[in-house]
Amino acid sequence: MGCAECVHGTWSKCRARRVRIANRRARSLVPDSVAAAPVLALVLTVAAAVLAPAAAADRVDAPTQQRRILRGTSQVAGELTGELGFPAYTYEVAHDGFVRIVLSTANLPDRPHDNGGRAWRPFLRVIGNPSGRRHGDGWSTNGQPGDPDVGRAALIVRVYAGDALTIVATVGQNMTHDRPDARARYTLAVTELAP
Amino acid sequence: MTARLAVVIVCVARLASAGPAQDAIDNPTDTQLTLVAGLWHDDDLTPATGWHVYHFTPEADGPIAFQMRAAPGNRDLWSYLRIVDRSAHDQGWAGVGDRKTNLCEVIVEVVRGHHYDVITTSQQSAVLPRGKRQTARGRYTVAALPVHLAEPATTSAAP
Repeated sequence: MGCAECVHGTWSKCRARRVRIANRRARSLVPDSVAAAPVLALVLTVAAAVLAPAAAADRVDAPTQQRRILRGTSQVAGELTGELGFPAYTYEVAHDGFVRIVLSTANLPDRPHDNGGRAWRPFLRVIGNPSGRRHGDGWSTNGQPGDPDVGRAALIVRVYAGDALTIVATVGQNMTHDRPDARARYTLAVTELAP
Repeated sequence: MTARLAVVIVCVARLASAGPAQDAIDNPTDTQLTLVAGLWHDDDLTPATGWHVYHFTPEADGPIAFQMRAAPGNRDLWSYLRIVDRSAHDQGWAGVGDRKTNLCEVIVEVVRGHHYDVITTSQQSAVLPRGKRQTARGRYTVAALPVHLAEPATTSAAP
């Protein structure tokens, strides 16, 4: 099973309200009139780089919220990087029934030999956004690494129109390090199914 | 001689106070029970056995809703399910139930003939720090229920 955290996570610490809006960087201290004081600017730039805290890496319990809202059956794609290891999407349920959420991962075209040339094993987490009907429920899966070209993880959740879920897409490799470690292409496909 | 005797007494006392080793995420208590699709099984979680594993081998491909239900309001047992397909690289699915209804549902599109471990526990035990004693306690019921999912109609492109 690998890292136990990959499947179990820490649900109690993971609430939609804790999802961060952005993975912010520290502000630069470089003054506007750089040309007038190049030495000072250089000193300040170096000082800022040394003293400013590094941008905090996201993690599964503090994913990076993406602006794109998934409404009903929909699809989105993106790239996992060293700065964005845990993108989170809000999915708004259009119809009562079930939803199948599939996360697919593939190696980047310019990094075909990552992970020994096999697609990273995906890790998918879904959290029910608290509402009058949902109270702290959530799911996760560590996916299937069988296909060398595409990693696939799927969750099916019972849903009701008007509900919202938070979907976090990542790969298992990112769960085993303090910072996101893997680079990969990901696709999230949300399909609403009638009961 | 006296010193050796003292060491032995201390060791025995420590063993006696430690009590039986508790089960854990990687050492669940095997119920030796095979779930039958559509039937519920009642059981209890206790501090001594906070992880129960059941077995399920589907006779057909298709979606199965694994459900665990405990009494609403039981603070000592917040239903948590973990399903592991031993036949497929230990692919796993986990879910924590609705805190209000205490119903946990994990839906898996199972494969005929694969062996699935169905592990029941409590949310508190699922995130238990290593070395801490679990405190899950309460009655629950578990089942593997076939569900029907209607796939959306596919639209073919006009020639």
